[in-house]
Amino acid sequence: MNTVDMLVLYSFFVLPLAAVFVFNLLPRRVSDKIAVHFLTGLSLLVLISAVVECIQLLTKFDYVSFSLLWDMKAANASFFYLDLTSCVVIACTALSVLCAALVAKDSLRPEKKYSFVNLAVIIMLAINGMVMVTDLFSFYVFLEVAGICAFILVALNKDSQGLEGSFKYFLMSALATAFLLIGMAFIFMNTGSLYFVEIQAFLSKSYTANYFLFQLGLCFVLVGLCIKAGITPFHGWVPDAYQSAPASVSVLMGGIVTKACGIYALIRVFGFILPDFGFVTDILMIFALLAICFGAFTAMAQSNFKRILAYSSISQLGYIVLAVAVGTPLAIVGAVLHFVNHSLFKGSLFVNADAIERETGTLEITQLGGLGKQMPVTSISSVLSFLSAAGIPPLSGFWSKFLIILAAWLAGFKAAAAIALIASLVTIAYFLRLQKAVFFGKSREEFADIKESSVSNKAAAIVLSALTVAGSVLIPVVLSVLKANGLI
Amino acid sequence: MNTADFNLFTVSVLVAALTIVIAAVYTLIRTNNLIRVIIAVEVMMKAVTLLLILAGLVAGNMALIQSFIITIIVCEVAVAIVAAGIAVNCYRKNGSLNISALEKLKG
Repeated sequence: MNTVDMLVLYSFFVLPLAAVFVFNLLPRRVSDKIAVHFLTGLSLLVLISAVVECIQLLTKFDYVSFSLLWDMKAANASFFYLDLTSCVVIACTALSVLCAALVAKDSLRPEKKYSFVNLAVIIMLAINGMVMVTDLFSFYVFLEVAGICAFILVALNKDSQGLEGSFKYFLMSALATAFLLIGMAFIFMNTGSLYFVEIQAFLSKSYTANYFLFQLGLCFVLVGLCIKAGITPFHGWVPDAYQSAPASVSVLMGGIVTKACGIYALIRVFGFILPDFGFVTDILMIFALLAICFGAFTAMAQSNFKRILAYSSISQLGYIVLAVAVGTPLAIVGAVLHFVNHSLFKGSLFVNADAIERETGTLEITQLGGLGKQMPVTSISSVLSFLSAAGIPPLSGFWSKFLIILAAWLAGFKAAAAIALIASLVTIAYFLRLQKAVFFGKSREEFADIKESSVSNKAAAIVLSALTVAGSVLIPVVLSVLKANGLI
Repeated sequence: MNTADFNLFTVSVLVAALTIVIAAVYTLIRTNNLIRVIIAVEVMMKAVTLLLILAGLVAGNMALIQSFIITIIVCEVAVAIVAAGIAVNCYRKNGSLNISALEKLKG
C-alpha cells in the first residue's frame, strides 16, 4: 500500500481525531470565530477522500484492511476493514456534516457554534469508526459515542422542547444498548467470540451445536438495532427528537445519525454476515412492512413540517429494512443505494425546513402558504427531493426503490412488494399535501415581504438537489459496473 | 460450549441477571421521576454487565470479557452524566422532575 492510499485511509479516522484536539487547543476567541468554517473544511476533506476511495474500491472491487499504529498481523489484533458499503456510508456522513455546517452558519446561536462543531466532529469520527470495525463490541463502543453526542446536540439550545426530545431519545437509546449488550452476551456464550468472521465461521462449521442461545442473542441484537433506527414498534422517539432539535442538528440526525447507528448495522449483520438467517428474516419483514405503512399513513395526519419529515423517515427506513430482510445481492445493493438517496433527499428537506422556519418563524403547515414565488430555490429543491422520495423516475430515489421492490418480487415476497408499492403512492400523497400547503396556493399577506434564505442555506439545498438529479444518471452507471463485476 | 457448562451456579446467575433486567424495566414503566428513570437504566446496565461476566465464564474467555466490562463501565458513566445533565436542565425549566411535564411534543 503506497503513501497516498494510506493518507486517504487515515483521513477517515485520524484526521477528525486530530481535528478535535487542534480545535480545542486554539484560544476560545479564535475557535468561536472559525468554528463553522473549520467544520466545513474538515468535512469537505473527508468527503473528497471518501469519494476517491469509493471510486478506487468500485473499480478494483476489493476491500482494504488496515490498522492505525499497531501491528495488525499480531495474534488477536483488531483492525479496520473498509469495503464499498462502508466507504459509501463514510461519504454520506461527510456530506451530511457538510450540509449541517452550512445550515449552522446562520441558524445556530453564535455561542453554541463551538459545542456544535466539537460534537459534530466527534459524531463523524464515531460513525467512521462504526462502519470500519470488525467486531460487535467495538461497534457498541462507537455507537455509544455517537449516541452521547446526539443527546447533547438535540438539547443544544436548552429549550424545554429540546430537553424533552433529548430525554426521550436517551431513554430509548439506553434500552437499545441494554438489548444490544444482552444479545452480545448470549452470542458470546455460544460462539466464544464477537468477531464477525468468527461468528460466520461458527455458523458454517457447526450446524449440530446448540443454537438456542445464539438465536436468542440475535433477537436481542435485532431489537436493539431497530430501536436505534426507529423502526415502527420502537419509533416513539424519532418524531420528538427530530422536531425539537435545532435545524442544523435535524439535518445531521435525519441525514445520517439514525441511519448509521441502526440501519447500517442491520445491513452489515443481517445482510452480509448472516444472510437468510431463518426466522430473523420473518421478523425483519414484519417490522419493515409495519414501518413502511405506519410511517406513511401517520405522516398524512401531521401538521408540523419537521414531524412529517420524521414520519416519512420511518417509512423510508422501512424500505431499507425490507431490502435487508429479502437479503439477495440485488436487494442489498438497493438497500445501500436507498441509504445514500435517503441521506440526500431527507437532508435537503431538513435544510428547506430550516429556511422556512427562519424566514417565517413557524413550521405549522396550516399557517404557511404560497411561499413558492418568494423562495424559488427552497421550493424547487424541496419539490425535487419529494419527487425523489416518492420514487418518480428518473430521479435517484426511483432507482433504489425500484431495485428494492423488484428484488422483493423476484425473491418471492410478492405481497410485501405489492404493499411497498402501494405505500409509495401514499408517500406521493403526503408530500403533495405538504408541498401544496407550504409552497403553492395563494400567498398570505403576512408573508408578503419574505425573501429567499441565506447563501449558505441555499448552497446546501442546491448541492443536495443537484446530487439527487445527478443520481439519475450515476446510479445506472454504478449498477452497470456492479453487473460487469458479476455482483448482481 | 455444550449444555454441561450450565450447572446450578451459572443458571442461577443467569436467572438473577434477567430478574434485575425485568425489575429495571418495570421501574422504567411505573416511575414518574426523571432521576429514577436514570437509576433504573443504570441498574439495567449493571445486570447486563453481570450477564457478560457469565458469558465469559461459560465460554471460557474471561480475559476478553474483562476488557469489555471496563469499557462498558466507562461508556455507562458518560451516558449517566449526560442524562443527569438533561434531567437537571428539565428541572430548571419545568420546576419539577415529574415525567408528565414532558408532554409538549405531541403530533
